[in-house]
Amino acid sequence: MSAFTASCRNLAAGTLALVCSLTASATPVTYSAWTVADITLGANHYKHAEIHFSLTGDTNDLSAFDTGVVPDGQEGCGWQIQKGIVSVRIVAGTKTITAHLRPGQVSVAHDSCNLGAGFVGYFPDGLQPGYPLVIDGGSVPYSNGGGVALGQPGFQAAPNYLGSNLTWSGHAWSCINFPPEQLWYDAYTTGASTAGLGKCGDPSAYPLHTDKGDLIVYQNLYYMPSEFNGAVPAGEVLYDDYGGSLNDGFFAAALGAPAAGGE
Amino acid sequence: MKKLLSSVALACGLLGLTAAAQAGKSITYTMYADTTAMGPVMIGANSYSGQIALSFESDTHFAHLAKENGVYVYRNDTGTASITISGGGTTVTAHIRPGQVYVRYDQVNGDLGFGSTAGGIYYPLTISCNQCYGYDGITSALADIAAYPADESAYPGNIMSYATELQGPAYLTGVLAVSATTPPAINTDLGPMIIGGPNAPGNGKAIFMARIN
Repeated sequence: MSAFTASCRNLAAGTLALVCSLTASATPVTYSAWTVADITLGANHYKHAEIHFSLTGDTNDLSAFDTGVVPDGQEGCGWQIQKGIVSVRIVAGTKTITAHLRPGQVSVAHDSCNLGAGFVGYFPDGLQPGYPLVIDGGSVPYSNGGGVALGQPGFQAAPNYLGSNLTWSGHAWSCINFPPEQLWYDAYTTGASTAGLGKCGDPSAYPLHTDKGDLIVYQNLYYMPSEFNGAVPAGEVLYDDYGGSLNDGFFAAALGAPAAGGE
Repeated sequence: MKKLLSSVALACGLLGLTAAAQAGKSITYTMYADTTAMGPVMIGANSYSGQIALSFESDTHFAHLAKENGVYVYRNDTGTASITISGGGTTVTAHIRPGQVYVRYDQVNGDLGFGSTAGGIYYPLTISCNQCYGYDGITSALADIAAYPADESAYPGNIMSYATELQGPAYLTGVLAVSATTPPAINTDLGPMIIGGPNAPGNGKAIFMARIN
């Protein structure tokens, strides 16, 4: 999902071109994603807890994005929504905790060029396209929007899947500096230092602020096989931007007003 | 890849089962999947789409080790099963008639989930690795390590703690098997149920959880 990175960096830089808007009537919608992870909320740490993110908004606030082909040859495209009420529900054993995120920290996006969908965070140093929770691959649909770069004749916006009911599964990522293995390979192939690359960054430096304290989600399930016929030992570099995560999760959209007490 | 569990691991498993059998606990096994990958769930004359949660309520007393085709697997055949499909703001739950489905974990071959008397070990809902490399999920990772113990270094240091004997809390992930033929119906209180089939898109990921109640 390297293009997803690129797309989101463009988002963060404010250079994203919104290429179309919905003409359908506004409809309440709830987007959700969940997995099991280690989590810190305020002063409490939960191991192997369910974490459910939700954004309640309106389909009228969906907007298309397409980065065009960026310098690394990749492209990000799809739909996203930045406006809505975001909450998180943690289920740890018999205990359930719900917290509300302060506005402006998280949006929902589906990058159909890169089979990713989920909750992406905005931080002072930019947007994190794989954090706090993105579902990757699996049944997340692919579309490259016609394969024509933004602004070129024949450009097509990707289908707006986020405007309908859906449920997708895929690998779950809660990864700072996603996709880190791409950064590692870029450095490795140019002979630059790979120190600190190839792994997800420390999420404790990227707290999400909630009414129950700061929220941190950890990517503890990974796959790091040896590379280049053993030249790089196992445990050094994530396999790739899909198989580097052993964790799975689900992303869903449900049209209509949320049920009382629901996500 | 189809390597037998080591005798040490097997002995530990048998000891664990013996201890647990003396103090059974209520346990619920649940597999989560999605109909985008599996195709809609047909129950009676109705079609349902969304997230699938197939659950099996039992007691740890009933979990046992069995040898099947030369491989030791963990099974629980005694319990009450139900399926819930949630999508588009609606939820439906059907209760599966007794004696049709069971829970099964074959660590060596990377198969985990719900089999049935009607459809065999992969149906209605089972994680199964194709090549049993880590990138498919935790279940594949454990199968990889069972075959090639040295591969453990590619995974988190606590990866072996995710292996389950169906005796306690568990969390595993993986790729869903899809039936190549039209699967048989499983009887529920809402009518015959069919999940997936040869037209299912596939590529679905799944989460298997066991919770002590």
